[in-house]
Amino acid sequence: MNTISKKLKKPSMISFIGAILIFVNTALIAMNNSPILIFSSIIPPEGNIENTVSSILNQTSWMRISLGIANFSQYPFTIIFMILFSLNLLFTALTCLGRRSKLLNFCVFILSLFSIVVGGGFIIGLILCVIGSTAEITPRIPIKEHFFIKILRALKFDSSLYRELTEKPYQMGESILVVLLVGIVSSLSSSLYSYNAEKILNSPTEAFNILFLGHMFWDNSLLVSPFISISFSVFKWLMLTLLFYFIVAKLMRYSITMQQIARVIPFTYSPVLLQAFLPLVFGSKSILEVGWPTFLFIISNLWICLLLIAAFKYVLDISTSRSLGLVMLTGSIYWFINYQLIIPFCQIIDPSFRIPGLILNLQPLGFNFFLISLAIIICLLTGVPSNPSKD
Amino acid sequence: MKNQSPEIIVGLLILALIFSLNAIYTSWWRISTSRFVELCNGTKISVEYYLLQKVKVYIQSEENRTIEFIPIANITSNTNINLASKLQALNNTILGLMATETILCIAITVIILIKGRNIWILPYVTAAAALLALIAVFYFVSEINLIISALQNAIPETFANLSNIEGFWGQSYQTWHWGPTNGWFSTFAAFLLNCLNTYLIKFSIRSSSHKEEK
Repeated sequence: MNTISKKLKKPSMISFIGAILIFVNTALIAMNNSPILIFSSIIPPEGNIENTVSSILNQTSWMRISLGIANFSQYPFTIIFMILFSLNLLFTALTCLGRRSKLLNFCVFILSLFSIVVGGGFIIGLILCVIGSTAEITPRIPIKEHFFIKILRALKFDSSLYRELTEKPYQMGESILVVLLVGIVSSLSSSLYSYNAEKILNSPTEAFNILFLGHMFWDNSLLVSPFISISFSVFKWLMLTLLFYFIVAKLMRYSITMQQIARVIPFTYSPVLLQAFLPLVFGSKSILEVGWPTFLFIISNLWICLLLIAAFKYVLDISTSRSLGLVMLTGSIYWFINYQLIIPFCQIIDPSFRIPGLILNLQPLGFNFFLISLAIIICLLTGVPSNPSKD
Repeated sequence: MKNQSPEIIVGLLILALIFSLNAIYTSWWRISTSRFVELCNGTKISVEYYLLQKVKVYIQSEENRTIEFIPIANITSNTNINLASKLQALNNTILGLMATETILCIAITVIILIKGRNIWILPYVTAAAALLALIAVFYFVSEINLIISALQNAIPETFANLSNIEGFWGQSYQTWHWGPTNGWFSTFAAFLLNCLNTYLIKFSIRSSSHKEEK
């Protein structure tokens, strides 16, 4: 039995389990002839499409989760996908049985990405397959050093990761990759969400298809949003790095370089990947316009703040309260420059300018100043502008 | 000789077995009112064809809901004895194919668990199981007209008129849709999994014999 467990390599086993989940998910969707739809409450029959849709849209908290897209959950797609994902299963099984091939794992990676349209193996299958196959593509690197594993480590506040990032200059490439990935995923999902939300609000027939049958509408113009988003993400990364560098290295006089800060910050952006779940949920007007996007925005941004606090605590070796003060000061200046100066300025130059992704717009302006001054008071109380070892 | 890591193959065999058993107990073909009718009017009619000699008729209106299981022998009218006997023959053939396929799946799993996977006959038995599942899938598609004719007698005309139903898959916009369900797809999944198992068992036998040669 020992030889068995030795032979079963971890990443290949992870992708094998993921591939089983994807196959079972696809088979279930084929059996139902529709995506897996979970409604928060029963839909009251109103006689026709218009009345049924409007009664649902006016409810306070009705929503539905859809695993899979209706357009791809019917014959002949289901048969094609079952064959494709059985191949995916075969490739992962072969890797488990000892056949090492980058091409096989690359195929697993691509096929598992395709599984998004049929529920992605209850989401978990897709994640496992992506992690397992990318780890198998570069088998010489230890498992905890792989890109997606690092993202997971960042998400669970792994202190060793942040130290590694500051110590190893070659990690800059991966940090840039995180910025790009976060930009692409968040912009694509939010553009897709807003495009479909607009359809729900404007056309009862399309609303019926999206809300009750799990359809998803697509327009090729949505592919433009990642390009705008990437450039904006790079700009935000640079700005936050500069702010942290100025406060930490110049004001607090800690010995840290700008490159070290630039390598750490992108991994703290990882929670933005949660916004990929945005198009899974649609619901009544209140959920559609405010509830669900705001919930995801707050959760992901709160998580980013906590990760930044943890990251600077480990990197600078300071207390949690000082790290909290540092993040509050830098974050509030960053937020003010970003959302109150740059975006409004861009919109003055070009009124049609829209940044893909979720944006929290707090009004009135005075309230923003109140929040910033509160952040400054907290940071002064935690003794941020000084460095106890240098004073 | 016993071999390493048969867990992957056993896992897939058990999955194939689950799908095969599921195929025997769940419905193979269904005609039902569309989601549009169900959601907007609150009414639903569905007729599902099972292998175990029965048809499930589900009728839901705003006031009440009835679920009835009708033996296949009773759904064809007395005058159409030919149709009834053909339908029973189809039912028995597919049930026989699926039962054999399931028994083969169980046999392969047991042999692999007891003796290891390095037995030359195993890939051929797995391939036979896959072939049986494939025959069941295609035989059912070819004989679907029998079921459609029989189901037209299953629902009283006051509820639905199924005279325009043609083909294995289909829908009439906003009223009816029909097609294969759990049982048929489970058999198809079992076929795919048994194909994989055939290749994987062959692959592992080949790779272990290579190692022995070295």
